[in-house]
Amino acid sequence: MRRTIKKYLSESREQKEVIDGKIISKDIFGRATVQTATGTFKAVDLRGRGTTGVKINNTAQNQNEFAILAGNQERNIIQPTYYDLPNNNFNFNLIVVDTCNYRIQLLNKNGTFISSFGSESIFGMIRGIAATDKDNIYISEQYPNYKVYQYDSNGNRKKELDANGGIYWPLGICFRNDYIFIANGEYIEKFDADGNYIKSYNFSCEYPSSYLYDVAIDSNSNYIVSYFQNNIVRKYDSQGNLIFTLGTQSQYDEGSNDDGKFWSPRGVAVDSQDNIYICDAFNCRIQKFDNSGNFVLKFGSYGNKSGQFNIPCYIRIDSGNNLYISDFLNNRIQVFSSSGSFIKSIGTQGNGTNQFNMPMGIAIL
Amino acid sequence: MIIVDDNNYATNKTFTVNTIFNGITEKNIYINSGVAVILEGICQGNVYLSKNSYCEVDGIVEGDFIYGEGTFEFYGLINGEIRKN
Repeated sequence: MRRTIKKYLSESREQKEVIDGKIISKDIFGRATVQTATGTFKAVDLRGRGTTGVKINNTAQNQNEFAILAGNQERNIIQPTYYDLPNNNFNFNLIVVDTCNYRIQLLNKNGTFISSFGSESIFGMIRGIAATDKDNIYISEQYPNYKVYQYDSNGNRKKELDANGGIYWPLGICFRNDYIFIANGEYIEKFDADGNYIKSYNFSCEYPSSYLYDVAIDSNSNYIVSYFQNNIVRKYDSQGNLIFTLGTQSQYDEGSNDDGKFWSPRGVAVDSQDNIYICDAFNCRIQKFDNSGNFVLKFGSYGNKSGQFNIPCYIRIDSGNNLYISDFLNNRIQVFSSSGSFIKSIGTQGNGTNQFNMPMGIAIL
Repeated sequence: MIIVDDNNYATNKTFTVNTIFNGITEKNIYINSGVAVILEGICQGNVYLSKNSYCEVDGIVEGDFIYGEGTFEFYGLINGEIRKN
């Protein structure tokens, strides 16, 4: 059960802070333990004490108010009652695969940690992620199972996806136009939003090792796929006909850092104008192309300062055309504008809240 | 940034920068923290990953692959055991 809870200091009746959290337990007196990004609090209903002005989702509640008291304090509890908010009010909208912490982190786009699920006993080497809504999260796992799973945001595995030819090498996943698309070896597998298999598209190319790393779908249902071992990215129409190739095919160890060329292109994404953004992983930069494939700009270099990368891995774009990029070996998510201006960095190395251990896939709601 | 290393090593080899390795190591490979190695050559010993490291095996590992707190992808061949520790 998820709830969005806003924190007030009841003493002054003045709003001091707004936080998101979830109730993880309730005792027999109706007191709730609330887990938030900053710790665990006791939540009690102060309605009977005359506390007013309490709001949930900016809407005044006539009953079922919460006040959360810092430091596990407990106050007079009169007629404790609880307000159950629908799941879609649980305010996460950024989902990150935290690969070597074996967990999925749920955050808001400011980078505030909301919740997480998963452990080493549950996940192997997890990679890509997409979400159709807050309770349909698709996760690809490489070793040891090579599967794609559907989870809810409470961490319950709902099902395992299967395609006609089998899921055998799943990596990037994207959600677009009510469909889920999964890079699976040389194939893109298409599923509906509930995870029901629809069709496989064979995108094998004329070169050896044409495994796909990621997939993006533009507004015309064209496919943009990255051939990370051939140093090229291709755009195909919805029927699988080649429209253009970005980069120049070369062996894996012969990449180029010229504009418009790549060294192991990995994550791909499109913005609202169908511009294409590509994680040029071994060049530690992002390249942007227009929807005709013309080079527009590049940004980033090797390093760990703001705006630098150590293997940019996946990229996803929100409705405001902000770019969220997993900076794999710097253990952070970096956010940029569509012109490549650095906006902020989310996370540091570690296994606590707001920390990552080699983040990979990103999904944005 | 990544470099290409075509050398052969008769002793253990520790990678401290991102590397595409095309050579042969007769002993073990160690990958330092914060480093990615694309192993396109041959390791005749074991491969050991440090925390916060990545190894993509496109070549051959004749010994064991010990991933610890790192992560990996296999496109090549591991003749030995794949284990965490």
